[in-house]
Amino acid sequence: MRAKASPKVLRIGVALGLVITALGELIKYLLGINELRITSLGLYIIVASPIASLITLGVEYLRLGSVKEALMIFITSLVITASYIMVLIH
Amino acid sequence: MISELLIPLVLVSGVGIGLVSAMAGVGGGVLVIPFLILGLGIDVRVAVATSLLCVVITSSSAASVYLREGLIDVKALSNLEPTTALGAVVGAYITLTLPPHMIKFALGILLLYVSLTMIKSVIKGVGRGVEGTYGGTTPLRRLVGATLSFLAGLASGTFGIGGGVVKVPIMNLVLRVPMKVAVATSSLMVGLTASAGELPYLIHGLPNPLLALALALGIVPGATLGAKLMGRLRTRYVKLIFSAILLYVSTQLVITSLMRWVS
Repeated sequence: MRAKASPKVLRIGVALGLVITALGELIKYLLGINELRITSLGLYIIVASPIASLITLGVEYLRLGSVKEALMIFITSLVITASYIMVLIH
Repeated sequence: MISELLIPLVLVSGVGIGLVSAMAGVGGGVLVIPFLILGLGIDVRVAVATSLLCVVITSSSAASVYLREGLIDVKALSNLEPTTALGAVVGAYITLTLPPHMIKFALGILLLYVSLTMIKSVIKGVGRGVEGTYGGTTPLRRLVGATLSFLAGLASGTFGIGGGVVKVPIMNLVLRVPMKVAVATSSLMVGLTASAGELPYLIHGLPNPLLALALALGIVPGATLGAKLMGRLRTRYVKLIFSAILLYVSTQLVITSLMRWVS
């Protein structure tokens, strides 16, 4: 059995990230500055969107009662998130 | 830094890249990277970081469709993605550590291989894949798949490509996943891998957001148009033209990096 997950998290995440990044770039251009944290925030949101959508897929499987599939997804998400944390700490 | 005046040109180029890539049946990364390095003359590390960001954005549109259709294969994804993501992180650190001309040379060799393989497949007419049955997966196959996937992730993080061109055959030929499901699963995996590989570059402040945004905004409609045109055009010729472009840019990359090495 395969669960159908809502793509909203992925779409909204990427779209929100794009809007924030574009806004940051516009402010940078208008004010003539090189660095702005809001741009980085937008980029981090874009990068975090695929893993967030994977977690929602896991939740969807859990809701349908497929505990095994949900566990597989959550373990995968956990491993990927651990690699993110390793990079951030490094 | 590139001039803001170039952004419309980048947007139009993104449409072209999306169009050609979709018709040739590959991801946009293999053309984005040479375009950024040779076309705009930007640093290899910035180009890789920007391309990976672009991959995350563009893959999300395809992945969201497949998520809604329920075509993602959880078993294949869980088997392959942890090692792929790890490979992407390692790859990113390789690019951040090695001299840029070495990365450029290795990229040239990789693209040369891709173009020659594509020419060979067009001439021989191969590459249809197998219709998987989910019956042939063994622990050994899963181990082989995970190992090969690490290499796909490594290539993704090092060169800024999506790596779907490697992941789909691994799923289809090694794990016996049906082609359509393999393509769908790969679309989500490409985004996950690119996001893992992008993180080290992001921490170093390397991606150019404006370039990534302009390219992605061009690639998405370009790829949609390319997918629609694919049925009307002879894909054999499109693939040959694509291979010729790739052959040219890969040779350029190898030559320029060798010249840098010698001087």
